[in-house]
Amino acid sequence: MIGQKQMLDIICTEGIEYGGLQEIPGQQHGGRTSFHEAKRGTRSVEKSSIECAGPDTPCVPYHLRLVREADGTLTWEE
Amino acid sequence: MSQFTRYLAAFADGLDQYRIQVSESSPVELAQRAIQASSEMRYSPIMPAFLSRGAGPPEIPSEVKSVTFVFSTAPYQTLGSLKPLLASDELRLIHFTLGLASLVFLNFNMERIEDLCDSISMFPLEHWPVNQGMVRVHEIVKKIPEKTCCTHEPVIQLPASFHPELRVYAEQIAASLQALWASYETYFKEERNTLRQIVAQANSLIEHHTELQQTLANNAGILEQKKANAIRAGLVEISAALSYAVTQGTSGSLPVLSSRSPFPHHSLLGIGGAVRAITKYTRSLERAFASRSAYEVITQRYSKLQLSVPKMLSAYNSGPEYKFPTSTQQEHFDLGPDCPEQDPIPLIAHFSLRHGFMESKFSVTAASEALTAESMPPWTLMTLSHEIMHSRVRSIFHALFGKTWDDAAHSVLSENEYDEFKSWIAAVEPEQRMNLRSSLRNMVLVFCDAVELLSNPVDRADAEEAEDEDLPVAKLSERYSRHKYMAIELMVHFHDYYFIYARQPLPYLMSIWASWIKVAPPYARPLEYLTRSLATVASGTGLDKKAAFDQAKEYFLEAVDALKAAGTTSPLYEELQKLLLERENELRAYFEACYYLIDNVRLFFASGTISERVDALRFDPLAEGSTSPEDYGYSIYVYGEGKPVSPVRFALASLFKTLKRNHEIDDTQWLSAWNLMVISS
Repeated sequence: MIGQKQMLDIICTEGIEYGGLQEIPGQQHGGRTSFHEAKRGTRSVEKSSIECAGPDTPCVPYHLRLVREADGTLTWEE
Repeated sequence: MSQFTRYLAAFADGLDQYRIQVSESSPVELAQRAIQASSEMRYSPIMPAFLSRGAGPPEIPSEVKSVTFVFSTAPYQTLGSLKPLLASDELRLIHFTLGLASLVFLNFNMERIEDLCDSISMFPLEHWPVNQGMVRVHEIVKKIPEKTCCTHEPVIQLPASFHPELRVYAEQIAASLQALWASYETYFKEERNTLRQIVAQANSLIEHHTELQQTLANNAGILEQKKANAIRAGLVEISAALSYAVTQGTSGSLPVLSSRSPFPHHSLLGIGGAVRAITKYTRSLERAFASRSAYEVITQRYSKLQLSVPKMLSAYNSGPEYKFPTSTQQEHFDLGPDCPEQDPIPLIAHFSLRHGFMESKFSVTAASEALTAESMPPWTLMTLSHEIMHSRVRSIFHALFGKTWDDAAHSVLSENEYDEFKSWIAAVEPEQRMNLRSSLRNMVLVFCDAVELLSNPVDRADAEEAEDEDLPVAKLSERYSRHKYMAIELMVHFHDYYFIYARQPLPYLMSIWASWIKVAPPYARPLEYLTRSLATVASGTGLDKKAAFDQAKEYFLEAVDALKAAGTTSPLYEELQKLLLERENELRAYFEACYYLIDNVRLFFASGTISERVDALRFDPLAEGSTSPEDYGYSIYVYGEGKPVSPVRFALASLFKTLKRNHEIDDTQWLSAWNLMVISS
């Protein structure tokens, strides 16, 4: 489902996101935790190259919040 | 429970001295006996192929006088053509297997085998005469059909590298490709195309790595080093997948006694037939989806299409345009020019006990448990489809967020992507007109931001007083990185539900909740998994968020009741029902965020044309003329008629039978082998 040219770009994108960390974990003890997604967690957010927000970081005027009402219901607000 | 599964064991009593035994006793007993006799033993399960309705398993012959292995590449159809040629007392002597030697005939002499040449002469064959339980090894007959095709097939140019590190991968890849090329000539001809595509990709990666090495030698930056690392990781993936393909797919070839399968419980005949089944299953889906590339549709068409899409998650309420059409109305995805996938790289399919069901860029694995328990919901091949859909969604995400090789980008989100998100947010209208590709990307970002906020709601009083703070782009990027897995899973769920489960909410929920009770994450994060499943069956209903949640909840409760009634139980079900009662507010908030994303995925990625190709029912003899997946049925007393069956619909029909406890016999291993044998054909 992925073309030759596209695959090269995907590998490049992964290089930028994960620095070349392999996708398949090396689970040394072989314990399976999930067959749907958990093993993909090798590349957890801590391991990726996330930019840090500094004082000069640009901002987007986007304000989404989840508000808890007095009766306990939750409302999305923008 | 009747035991239909048999074991064919070969005990090595000395050099070239093999004692064989057909047994219905546990293979552990056979192994124990081998240990006591200090002999090496290899065995494989063999299944009587022709069962009688309502009768128990056929008797094992009291004496084995010969064993004939037929390496049919379409055993289901071979059984269909053999049946009218066999006498009633011969039927019980025919067995099918999970190996490349897909059929095993007991006590057929060579003259009788010659009589059956119309059905089997086109396949390799090995015949063991047996005397008082001992194989007469020097009289073994081996036959390989002569090649009928004289056209010259272009050979592949194996990858090579002089780079000391890459050389390891290049050599390993080349050696595996050579082994597979030779094996596929006889046992899986059409898979040579996969090797061609893999070779092209490996050569391209090595070439790009060489270029990067030259750049790095000239003091290039960290970006080039990251790309080089990613290429090496890609080559390792290819190398590992090919190694599995060799060890699993080629062992058990003719001559049978020459290679031991790496699967100890299939050590005699291997699992080459089962590998062919999961490969064919994968190819069938890949073919359907390659007819219209998501990447091409997004980059060529959606990038120019100006559409109003809802930008506000808080106001999202679905509507009639989101409802699955009942007529032949075309979906957005199907409009516009043809967009076939260019040079798609097929996934290498193999089994894995450690990885279970899993997808990576170059391979897809099925849980090894499926070899003996595919007919049980947790190990059904339907789960393989979920993994294959990850490949599709990988392509979608790449079209939305991916970089290109020549980009100098260092960050996860580019400046342009930030700018487009900013202008989307800044627009006054709740439904912002922007090109659809950017809108879809922005929706994913909004969704990821919402998932981050779920764990930290603010009280109304605090919310009134607090000043709105702008969102730093770095934080947006971080939230995307942290929660994109959830957006990916939702997209995969939609593809699985729509294309594979034919939009049937109850079977879908029953299937995933039968499998999820066997793995750890749903126990650790029940709220997330429950919400994912509810949002999936809510997509395409067109209902407002409240009604959609209520209906999905009803479906879920009904599915759990049906599972319990069918004997599938778990304390997790009680936990989930408790969550629905006690944490409904949280569930609704989570659901609303998921519904916003998955309903729009439904609107722009549903495809009637691909769906029809996935079903592949038009020529399937088991569909009996119907093109509706709901009408699909099969029986273990019916054999192949020439045309192949639809792998996905067959696997789904089998799953339905299990969920309804409707199988004709109750031998899980026999039923699993039957399913794999039919799909391998």
